[in-house]
Amino acid sequence: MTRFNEDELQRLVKKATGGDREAFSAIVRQMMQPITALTYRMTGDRDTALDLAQETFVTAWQNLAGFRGEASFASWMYRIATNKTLNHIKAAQRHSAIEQSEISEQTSAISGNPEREFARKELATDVAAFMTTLPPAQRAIFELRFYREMTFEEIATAVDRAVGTVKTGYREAVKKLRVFAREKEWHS
Amino acid sequence: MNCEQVQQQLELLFGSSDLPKDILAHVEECSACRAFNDELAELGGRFQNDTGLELSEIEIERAVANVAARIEPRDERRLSPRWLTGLSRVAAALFIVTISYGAYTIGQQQASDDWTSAVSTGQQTGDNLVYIETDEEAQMDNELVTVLIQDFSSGRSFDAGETLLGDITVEEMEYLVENMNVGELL
Ligand SMILES: [Zn+2]
Repeated sequence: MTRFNEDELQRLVKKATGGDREAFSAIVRQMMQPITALTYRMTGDRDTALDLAQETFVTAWQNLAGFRGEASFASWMYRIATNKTLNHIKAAQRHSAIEQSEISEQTSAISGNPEREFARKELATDVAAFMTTLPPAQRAIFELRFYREMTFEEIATAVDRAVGTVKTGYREAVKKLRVFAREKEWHS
Repeated sequence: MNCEQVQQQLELLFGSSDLPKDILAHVEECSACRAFNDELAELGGRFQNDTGLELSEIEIERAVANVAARIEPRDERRLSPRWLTGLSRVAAALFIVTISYGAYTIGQQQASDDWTSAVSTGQQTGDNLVYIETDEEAQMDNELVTVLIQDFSSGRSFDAGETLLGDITVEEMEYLVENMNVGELL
């Protein structure tokens, strides 16, 4: 998972807060992948995920002075990304259902063993399909806990919910995953 | 810890590779919880293989450029480097001091000359007002200069340099820097 070098980030953040745009670009370069991964898990759409990630960074630049360092910078960034994505989903609720045919084309194509490539795409489709069974905020919790290995406290900051709510949300997601697996007849 | 509590903990620990000792001990003893743990471990293992959305280097650089193009400089009026602004403030303050002192001296001289002339021609009545105004103006100039110098030395943003340089163009600033002797100023 992506653990950021917080000291290095803080140094860049300090510079960026003073108006250093190159320092900010360095932050964007470091965090674009994980932020886009989160917005993708929540939306299931590659282009939308990229747009939302870029919006997240523009908003972050405009509000850098508001980052007081109480939480980690990464949590602060995830918070902006989560809020933006939740707002986007709310605004486009009628179109939020992800088409299965689209999902298979969403993830990046890595050339290599065709069999392994097929399995990889199939898994990506399954994970994306599972994500649609979760409410958007729970998708964020699942991504940040399972794939980013953040603590529940960090996630609580990132999704702007109480720690207890985050824990309950994660447990619910795991329960839904077991149901999903049974429907897929994954268990032997 | 009973089975329900253990399974709740296992749900919370989904995705973690290490289980706490007490949970592990229960799982080893209890077949129901062991089956539950195995099921989660299998699911976790499967899902861990998903890399999610991966951006290529090119995509990342394009996104970085897009963001860079959309962010505005924080303070467009600030001309870097910082010393340039400081220098212009010094120049502006000295400029005001020089002009004001010159005006004051000329005013005093003129008042004195006019007074001498008035005395010699015997036109004292009414003309005294003119002399008083001149003195007051000079006094006001002096006070303004004092205020501006105080502002300047206290580093307040509303200072002489800032006031005077509000409308200065970059070209004018460049000219100022090129044609000014910093040593003389300081
Ligand atoms: Zn048990």
